[in-house]
This record gives sequence, structure tokens and C-alpha cells, in this order.
Amino acid sequence: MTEFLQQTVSGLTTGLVYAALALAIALIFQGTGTLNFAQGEFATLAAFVAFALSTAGLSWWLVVPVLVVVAFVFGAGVERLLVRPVENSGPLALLTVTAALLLGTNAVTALIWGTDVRSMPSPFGDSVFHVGALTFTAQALGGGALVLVTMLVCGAVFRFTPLGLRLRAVADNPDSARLLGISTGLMLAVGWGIAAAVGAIAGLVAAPTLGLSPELMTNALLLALAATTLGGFSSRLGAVVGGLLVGVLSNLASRYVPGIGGDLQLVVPFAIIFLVLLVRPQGLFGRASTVRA
Amino acid sequence: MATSISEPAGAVPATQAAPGAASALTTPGRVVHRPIWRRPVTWAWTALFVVGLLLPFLISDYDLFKATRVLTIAIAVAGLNLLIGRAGQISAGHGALYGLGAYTAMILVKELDWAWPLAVLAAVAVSGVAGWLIGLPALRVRGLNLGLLTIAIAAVFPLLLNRFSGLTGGTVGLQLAGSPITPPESWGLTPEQFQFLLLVLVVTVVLVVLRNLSTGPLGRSIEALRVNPLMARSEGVDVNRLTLTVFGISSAVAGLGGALGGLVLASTVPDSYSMFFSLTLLSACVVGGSRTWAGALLGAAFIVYLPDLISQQIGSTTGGQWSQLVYAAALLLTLFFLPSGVAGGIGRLLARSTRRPERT
Amino acid sequence: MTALLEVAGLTAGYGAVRALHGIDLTVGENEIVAVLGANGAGKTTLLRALSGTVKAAGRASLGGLDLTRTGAHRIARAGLGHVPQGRGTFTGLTVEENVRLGLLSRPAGARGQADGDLTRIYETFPVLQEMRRRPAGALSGGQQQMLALARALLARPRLLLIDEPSLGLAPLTSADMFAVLSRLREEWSLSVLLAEQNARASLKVADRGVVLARGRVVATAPAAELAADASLRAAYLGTAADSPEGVTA
Ligand SMILES: Nc1ncnc2c1ncn2[C@@H]1O[C@H](COP(=O)(O)OP(=O)(O)O)[C@@H](O)[C@H]1O
Ligand SMILES: [Mg+2]
Repeated sequence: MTEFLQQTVSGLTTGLVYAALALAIALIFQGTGTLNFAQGEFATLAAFVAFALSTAGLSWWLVVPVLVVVAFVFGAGVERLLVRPVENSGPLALLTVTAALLLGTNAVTALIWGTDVRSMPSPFGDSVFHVGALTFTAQALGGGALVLVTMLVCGAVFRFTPLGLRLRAVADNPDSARLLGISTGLMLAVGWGIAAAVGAIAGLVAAPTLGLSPELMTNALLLALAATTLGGFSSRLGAVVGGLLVGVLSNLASRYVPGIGGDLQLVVPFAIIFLVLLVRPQGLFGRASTVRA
Repeated sequence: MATSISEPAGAVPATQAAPGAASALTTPGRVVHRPIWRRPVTWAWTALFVVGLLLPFLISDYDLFKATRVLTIAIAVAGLNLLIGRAGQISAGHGALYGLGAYTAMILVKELDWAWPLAVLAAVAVSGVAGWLIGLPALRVRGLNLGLLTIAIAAVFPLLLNRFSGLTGGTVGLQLAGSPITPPESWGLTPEQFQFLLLVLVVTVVLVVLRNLSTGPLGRSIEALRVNPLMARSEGVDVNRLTLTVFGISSAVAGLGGALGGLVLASTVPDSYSMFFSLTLLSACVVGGSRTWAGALLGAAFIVYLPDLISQQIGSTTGGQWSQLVYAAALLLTLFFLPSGVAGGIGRLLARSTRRPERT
Repeated sequence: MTALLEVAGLTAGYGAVRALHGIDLTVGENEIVAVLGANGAGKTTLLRALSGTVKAAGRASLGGLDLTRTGAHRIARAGLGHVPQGRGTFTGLTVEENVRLGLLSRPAGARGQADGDLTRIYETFPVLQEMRRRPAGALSGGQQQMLALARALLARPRLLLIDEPSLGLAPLTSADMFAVLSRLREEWSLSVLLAEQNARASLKVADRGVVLARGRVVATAPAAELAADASLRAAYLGTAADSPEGVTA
């Protein structure tokens, strides 16, 4: 039982990373109408930037806000410069651009920092806590809290601020938003910026556990895509819940289902994508009408 | 004018898409009134075919070996062209289907001692069926779901190869002492010469079949599917089944390329079929020109020779990454500035230069 | 005196197909002009060309702003409201959020009156207040039309384009709609360009009428004159002009 609980808890903490990445993917899907294949690579790049900032002597208290700002500017810039030209060219061209971004970002990261796996110190220290029979590392607790706060802030921006209302309006009905004086182009860029910032926190939190390398988020991308599929691409909350579920499910499966362990954990998200699309393509929280063709 | 990946779906009616010889293999029905000397594209293909037959006797076996690799990749890219350029669907996982073909053929030859032609046919069937299965869930909602599933396949495939090491040899993969594709002794050809000639024939057959497919009745339905799925549906096209059929055919063609590629190399390793390989194939398809069959050859040559060129210039340690960066940049530049790809652009120029004399 | 909206030789279309062939038109301050015409005459295209959602050439200026060279969102911020055909509802947002989007896009000078205007809107359309927590997509057609009008009004436009507000509404709802339109000018001090097929009802509300046919202006006259011209109605306005809806309004 303790074992089961421990596995569930650690599934939840890794699930938070997938949840944040899934949230980023859902944000871009809702605004721009495409999957962003490069979301994981953006997060990896952000983790390297955080690593570089911290090795340069910046305290973690500063690294996090600087990272968020840098990632936001990066995401918004990518939208303006590289996505905008094909904005009206249909889903195929958009998706192909994100494939190019995946290839390009991965290459740039590898060229700058090399392909070796580095160990990145945890911003939260190495202490370990015991609650009852359960064990928590400071990294898991602190990282989990950071991701959680990030997602809550992001959710609050969307739910309660005028900016969030405008962003949702553009996602819901861009033509009508334009008639109300909302610049859809600006909102799409802001959406990419927010997505990149949320993903950056996911990368930062994942790196100390998984080891920093250009492949940091390659698997996480698949898990996050499964999370978004499960929760529904049209729902921010769904993406987050989907991320937690995927984290727990793949952790439990690798522990209790014979044959599924190590790398093969990835079969779980793959199966989730496959089954959800077959059974309920709009996902758990999605509205059928908003699934884009 | 040739439509292309980054023009809005529905912008160009189906009937305007093909003339002008921009689709590199000309359509007999459309150009029959044109005298042969005014059909530069037909000339070019004939010349290319002849050069293909002569090439083995002009260049070294090492260079031939590379060229053979271009042709095996070109087969997969041609399959991708059918899917992307004609049907308007994406696959970010054709590298996995190529790899599936390679592994199937290698396992059949190595473990079960099958004759290589049979192994290749079986690999084609396996990849086709796999594509069909992957396509099934994508039917529920068209568009992005195929992208979603295929990138998932691309990511999972190498892991499965590592996992089922009893069958696949795990990380070291499968190797044969030499390629089983060898000429009969009496022909007096080296294996490289024979393999290249074989691939020239296979590529020709594949391109002709795909060309005829996309200009025939099925092709018209596929065109309707890309230009306006809703209208296609209202005209009685079973959109789901057609998508599945096209994806199946495209996967089978990729498997053919993979099977021949694997057997020529006499080696398959999981690392060769990573997600990045899949995306590189996508890059080849778009950069070459997804609506031109010549684009498949150009795109394949691009992704086979570029890493060599780059390694020669800057050494091999970071050569792979620089190549990847160039693929990404080429992909973006093509999407922005040359949406019909390199071959599509050349086709347009050719079309313009041959149309002018008709007016005067 | 220069009019608020001045349009001269305006052309617009979709791809290679032209839908407007040189439209001339003015709307003065505080004036209501009805654009009449059968289905496909080009009413919607004209309104879209003015709000910048369809590419247009020629002259169109709103208080000096060149509408043919300005992006849609800038035109909206310059004081042009557009209640589009199909109502443009943000179906995934609540009714209240739809309303707030209107408030958000009003000019800075009008922020102070936001609360008063909102109260006024909820007095005019009580149903919107009752249903403010519901998803806007759940509203009926008539309610969505009211919502669209509310959204546009709360942005405090100087000129409001309204595209076939009675389309698809039951006769009684449609009559309500025209009753509201007739009070707009007094309550919101704005000018209106109203596209309608229902000539009889809209000419009661309007000062002037402009009749379109196949993308051209075929008649411009004071509303009363147009309403009396039976031959014009028969020639260009089709059957909708004499439908029972027109009578009840
Ligand atoms: N999205 C569109 N694409 C192509 N043609 C259109 C489109 N919308 C309208 N049209 C054409 O433009 C002309 C004018 O249409 P419209 O402005 O909608 O007329 P109305 O609003 O008066 O019914 C019609 O011939 C119509 O077929
Ligand atoms: Mg209309």
C-alpha cells in the first residue's frame, strides 16, 4: 500500500511537468490552431538557459523570473517571425513549421551545449523529507510547487484579467474579436509567449531529475501530447488533469505491469493517444464542437 | 500553377492544379496535343532514366552506394508526397514506417532465410497494414490527429526496437555478412552496380504508379479531399476510407524504400529511425516539392548528401547537428518563399518558358 | 458639411470574383441609413469592406480615417462597430464575458460611463442579465442577436454597421428587434448603417435608404420615398420586402 502511494505521489510530481507542457500545447492549439511539436524543445532550451544563468552566478530567485521573461519574449518572437508568415496557409503548413522548429531548436541546443548529459543541481537543494512512510525530495516538493503556482497564475490570467478575456475571445472567434478592436496577431504572439514561459518552468523543473541534455524533453513531449489528448485540446484544465493522470498512469504501469519499464513507459502515452482518439476524440474535458479538423 | 503545402486549402480549384507541367511527370491526357519536342519534362525524365542506366558504369562503387541510398530514401519521400502534396495530410512518422520495412525485410532474410524479393514484398505489406492501423484513430477527426499519431509513432518506434531485442537485436540492431541483393554471376556486374540499377527500375515503377494513381479517378477524389473535404464528402467521396487508403499506400511505399535500403546496407539499427529521421523525411518532401515527383528525388538527394558535405567542411563531431539545423532552415525558407518546393519552382519556370512559344 | 462616413467608388470581392463594383454612399452624423437588396446583392460584402474584414479598393473614410488601408481592429478602435451577419457570438464564453468584451473595447474617454451603459443594456435586454452566467452558445438566435448588438453598443461606436438583424428570427422577435433599433439613435447617439432584406421594417427605422443590386447602387432616396415606390420594391427587393414580418414591424 505504501509502495502504491509512493508511486502515485511520484507519478503526480512528474505528472506536473507533463501537465505544464500539456497546458502550453493546449494554449497554442486554442489560439493558433496547431499542435506545437517544438514545445518540448523550447522547454529544453529554457532549461539550458536557466542552467547557464545559474552557473553565471545568478541566484535561483532571480533565475526564475528572468527565465519567464526571456521565454515569453522568445515564444512571442517565434510566433511573429516564423509562424505569422504561414498563419493563413492552413493546418499543414503550420504543423510543418513547428516540425522545423523542433529540428532547429534541438540542433541549436546541441550545438551550443553539446550532447552529453549534465547533472543540474536542484534549485531546491538535496534534502529529503519523510511524511509517515512516504518520502519526498525537496526537488519534488519545490519543483511541484513551482509548476503548480505557474499553472495557477496562468489560469488566473486567462480567467480573471482583461488580457485573458481577449486571449480567450481570439481563440473562440477571431473574426468577431477583430470587430471589437482586438489585435488577433498580437494576442497570438502573447499566447505563444505565455505557452513558452509555462513550458520553460516545466523544463527547469524536469532538468535536475532527468539530467540536462538536448533530449531532456523528447519523451516528455509525447507524454504531454497524450495528456492534452486525454484532457482535450480545447480545455486548459483538461490538459492539466490529463498531465497528472498520464504521470500517475505511466508510473504505476511501469511498476506494476510486467514488461513496461524504463523507456518502454512511453508505450503508455502512446496507447492513451490511440485509445482516446478512437473512443472520445474530444478528450475528457473537451467540447466536441471545438475539435478542429 | 502548382498548389503547395502553404497555400490555403481550397484556394485553388482542383482543375487548375495540374496543367503547366509543374507536376514533373506530365499528364499524358493533357499534353497529347503538344508535339514531343515541346514536352521538356518528358525529355528530362527520359534523359534522367538513361543517365540512371549508364551511371553505374561511370562512377565508383562507393559513389554508387550513396546514390542507391538516395533512391531508397526517394521512394519513401515519394510516398510522403502522395500523402502531403496530394491528399493534404501530414505524417511526422514516415521514418518509423521506413524503419519497419527495413526491420521486417532484415528479420525475414536473416532469421527465416527468405529470398530477398519475397522479404521486400512482405515488408511492403507489413508497413502498409501498420499505416492502416495508425490511420484508424485519426479517422475520428481529420487533420491534426494524423500529425499527433504519427509523431507519437516516430517517438515510440525506436524504443520498441530496443525493447524487443530478441527479434530486433536491441541497440546493436541486425547485421548481415553482406547484402543479399547480388547480381547473377554471369551478368558481370558488381553488387553496387546491380543494386543501383535495381533501384532505378523500382523508383521508376513507383513514380509511374503514384503518378497514374494521382491523375486517375482515385487521384481526383484525393484532390477533392485536399482542396475541400466538406465538398468531397457531399460529392459522395468516403473521406475517412480514402484518407485511410492513402495513408496505407503511402506507408507501404515507405516500407518498400526501407526494405530495400536495409537490405542494401545489410544493417539496421534503431538510432537510424529516430523521430529526427522522420522529420528529416518531412523536410525532404517539402523542400523538394511535395506536389512534384521530381521533388522526391531532389529532396532525398538533399538529405543524403548534405551531411556528407557538412562533415567535409567542419568535421564530423557536430556535422549531424549542423545538418539538422540546415534541414530546419531549408524547411522554413521553402514554406515562406517557395511553397511548391525546389522542383515545383523549377517546374514553374519550365512551364513558363514552354508556354511562350505557343502564343507567338 | 462632410459626412461621418463617405464612400466613393468602393470595390471589393473574394479572390478573383468581384462582389462590389464602385459603391457611392454617405452616412451623416446621427443618421440611420438602410442598405437594401436581395440575397447576394452585396450588402454583407459592403459592410465587411467598411470594417476591414474584406479587402477593398476605392475611397471609404470614417471621419478622415481611410478604411481601405486600415486593419480591422484599428478600424474598430476608431469607432466603427459591426454586428456581423451570423451574430459573431463567442460561443465558448459566458454571456457576461461577451458583454465585457464590448466594454473592454470602448475608447478611453468613455470608460467613465461604463457602469451606466451596462445598466442601460441590461434594461433594454433583461434576458441577457438573467442568462449572464450561461455559455453564450446556449442562447437562442434572437438572444444571440441581442447579445451581438449589446456587445457592439458597449464599445461606444460612432458608426454602427448592422447586418440583417432580423435574419432567421421569428416574426415577433424580429419586431422587437426593430423596435430596439428605432430607439438606438436617441439612447446611444450614433449613426447606423443597417443592411436588411426586410425593406418595409427597416425603412420605418431609417432616414434614408440605399438599394443595392448585383454589387451596384441602383437607388438612393429618403426612406419615405423608397417605401412608397412599389415598382422599385418589386424590381430589386424580392419577396422579403412584402413578407408578413414587414407588416408587423
Ligand atoms: N466568402 C465568399 N466567397 C466567395 N464569394 C462570396 C463570399 N461571400 C459572398 N460572396 C458572393 O458575393 C456576392 C455578394 O454577397 P453578399 O455580400 O453576401 O450579399 P448579401 O449580403 O447582400 O446577401 C454574392 O454573389 C456572393 O455569392
Ligand atoms: Mg448578407
